[in-house]
Amino acid sequence: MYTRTTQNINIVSKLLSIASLLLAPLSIQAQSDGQALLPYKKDHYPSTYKALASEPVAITNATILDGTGRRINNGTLLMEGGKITAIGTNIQVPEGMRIFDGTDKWVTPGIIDIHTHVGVSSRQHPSLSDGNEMTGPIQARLWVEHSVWPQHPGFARALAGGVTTMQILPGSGNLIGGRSIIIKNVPARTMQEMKFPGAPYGLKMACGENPKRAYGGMGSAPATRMANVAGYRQAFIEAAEYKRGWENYLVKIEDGEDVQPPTRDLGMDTLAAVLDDDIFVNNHCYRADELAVMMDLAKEMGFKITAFHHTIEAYKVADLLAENDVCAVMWSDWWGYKLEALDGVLENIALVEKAGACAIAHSDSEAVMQRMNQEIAKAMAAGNRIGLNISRANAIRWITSNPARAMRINDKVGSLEVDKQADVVIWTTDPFSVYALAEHVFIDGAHIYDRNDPSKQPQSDYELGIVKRGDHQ
Amino acid sequence: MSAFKKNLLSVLIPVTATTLLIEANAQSIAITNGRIHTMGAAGTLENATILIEGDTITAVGRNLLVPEGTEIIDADGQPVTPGLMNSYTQLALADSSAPGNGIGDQDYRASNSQYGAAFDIRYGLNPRAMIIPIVRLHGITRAISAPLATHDLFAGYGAIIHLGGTPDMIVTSRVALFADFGARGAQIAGGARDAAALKITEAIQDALHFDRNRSRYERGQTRDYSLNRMDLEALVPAAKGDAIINIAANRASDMRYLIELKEQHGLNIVVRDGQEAWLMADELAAAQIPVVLNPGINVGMEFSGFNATYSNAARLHAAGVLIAFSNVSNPHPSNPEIVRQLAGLAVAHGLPWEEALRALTINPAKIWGLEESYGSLESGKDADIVVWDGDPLELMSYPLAVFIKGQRMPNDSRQIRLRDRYQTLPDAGGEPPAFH
Repeated sequence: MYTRTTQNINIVSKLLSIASLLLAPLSIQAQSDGQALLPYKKDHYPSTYKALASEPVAITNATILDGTGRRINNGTLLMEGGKITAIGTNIQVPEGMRIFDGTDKWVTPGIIDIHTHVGVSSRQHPSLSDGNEMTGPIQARLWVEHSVWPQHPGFARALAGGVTTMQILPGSGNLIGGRSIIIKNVPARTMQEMKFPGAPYGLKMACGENPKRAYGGMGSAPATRMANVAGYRQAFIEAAEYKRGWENYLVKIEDGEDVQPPTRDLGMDTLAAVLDDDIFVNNHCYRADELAVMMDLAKEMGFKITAFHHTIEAYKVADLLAENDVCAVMWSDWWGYKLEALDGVLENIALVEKAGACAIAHSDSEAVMQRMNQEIAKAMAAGNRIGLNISRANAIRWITSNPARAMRINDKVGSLEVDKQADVVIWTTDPFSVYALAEHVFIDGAHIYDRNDPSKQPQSDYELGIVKRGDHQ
Repeated sequence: MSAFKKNLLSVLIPVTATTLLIEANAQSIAITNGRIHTMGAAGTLENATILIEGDTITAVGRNLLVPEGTEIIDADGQPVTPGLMNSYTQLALADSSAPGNGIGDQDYRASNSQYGAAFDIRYGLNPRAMIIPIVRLHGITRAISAPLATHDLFAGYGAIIHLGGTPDMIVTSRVALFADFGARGAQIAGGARDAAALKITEAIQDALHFDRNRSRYERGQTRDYSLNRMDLEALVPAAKGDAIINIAANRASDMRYLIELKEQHGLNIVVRDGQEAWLMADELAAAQIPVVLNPGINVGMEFSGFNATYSNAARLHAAGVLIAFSNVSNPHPSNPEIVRQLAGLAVAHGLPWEEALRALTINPAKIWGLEESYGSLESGKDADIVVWDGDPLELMSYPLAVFIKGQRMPNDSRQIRLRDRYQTLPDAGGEPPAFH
């Protein structure tokens, strides 16, 4: 569970958890009548995701990378009822299971891309550019899910690359860009049909060049990095005050006073939830010196940064990242497209791993998202060329269990363990090869993609009748 | 560690200079015991040797006698290929991986210039650009470096460069005139493809008319032209079919236009991007129009690229179209070095392995008129050679040795120095990395 346990906390502090008011699953809401006083205790845009129909499946004789750091040769994986029911060697396959012969094939958890803008941005169609509200640097009020266009063909492309879960983020033009959404990568009519049940929200923040370019260029704040930092601090000072206002209100209600609730503010709702650590922070931040400032800023303001994104210079402060338990979300070899991206090195991900920090690979790209396995292969190889001795079983964590942990869904997905959701990819060969392709993809046990069967390849409305199914491959 | 690696490491050039420039130092080198993908008539040779004298390959074959005093590099059976070529970049026209937001000097575009076709990138090329050593360590030794169209359909002339990082980096100046059609060309020309087509037709007619009436032009006795004198002059060789015009376009119908353009005016056209080119593969093959493409594109979010597919390369090749690769028009603006990965991706989607390597070597040599000196490992050609530690198209393979015109490239770049500086982080109070 991402929400903190309320069992042993007294009723007042239970009431005071703004985050649980915002995000709480029904079970927690039911625990407190006080919460009924709050207008935003419910998720007003709840997930309507339903796992697709599945049959019991056995994958046999495969090389399995389970996402926890373990490699199983000649392994068997069983799934039933949407869950993984067995994994290992010498497993008896029960009668009636559909068998996928995994001889010469590899199996991994479904890939998790922690950083995408699929469905909310497009290079070519301005009318689909819905991810970057550059009309003011603090946009905590925004929920990116209100922009997600489920017909974006990038979803199905990513599925063909084995991506089963993704975090869609607002853009990086703002100091605070708004809430992210975590989705299961299933074809859907509405955003809510994709929304990952029980997953938390994330917050997008951005350091450095982008916000100061977006606003400085218009002659407004922030025009400098110091103004960036002042902007975050001011916002969180206001959020702390806002949170106190609600806390005081609830105490008075508890005491039977007849008081009016504070004025609601959507942005402050979100930042207050961040202060309660119920929304995790994704901070786009490149430079080593800025990473250090942001870690201290988070301490000053009383919140936690879960992951820095696009962390080109993570290798310079990998020790600090490990010490502060902050993940670094990186590319394998993209660099140099702006000054703060100048110091990219091929060994970045591997050096962060070596330092004992949480290393994650991401795409931020519709193209790269389709070959996340290739990105980690390049990054692993670069590390191994300098003797870091990283195994495939460990490297696969960069796109499976590590992002799952950062996204607080690691109790559900990110590794192939019994009782976890059966999000699984069968690869034609070693996924660290450029020639490997995702052959079969399962989400919650449902066989949702089959490379050899065009009828098992979802196609968006956008492409219907124009592109022959399967022709994009 | 294999004997091979020991051998190669033992001959790594020590980096003593403070800059990454290489001083010329001609010598005799033999690369022995290689699996040599010649990309020439000899095909692939096992346990073969390449002899290099100065900047030139002097012999390739099995059982060659290695003259005394020759430095020997034992490839230990590993693949040896020609240095790879990226057929569309802005390399050395900016310090890093332009285009994008761009940093520092950006000599690949001149949106406020009055010139179009006359623009030539030659004086913008910087052999000391920090990106050059980084890219060549991935086995890329040659590239097209080209201008970007901004305000004019004709962006100007690009060059073939080598990545040796020396002042003689231009291999072929004015190798092609770069232009845009398709959605972007339409945008530049005023909004519609037919506006772009009119501009192209008018420019060609004006250039040819100008060429036939030069003395009258000087006397002010010609009709008005749509272009200034410098642009007219620059268009003449392209209009006559003597210079290549490399035109970007994606939609299948754009290919039909380009085929007609070639037929009507006798132009020497090479298509760039061509996301839907496979839909016109037979026609392009019949018209003998090569295509420079990024095999890693399958989301054509503009309407022009609806049918973008990973099997574009395979389908074009199957139809007989000459193809070459670049990382151009990636939705994720990427770096020139990933063209090797993109070639591997084309193989994963049906292109024969050998053809993918051709699209990075001999095919660009043919397309860009460089076949005399580059593109295969054959006697008489420039010694651009890469010794690999595995399949050159594989993600985890990496060059063990890169030669450009006979010079062994040092295993050094700004990236490598950054990595070395921070590979071991200082303890509190330890020596700051700035001293490393």
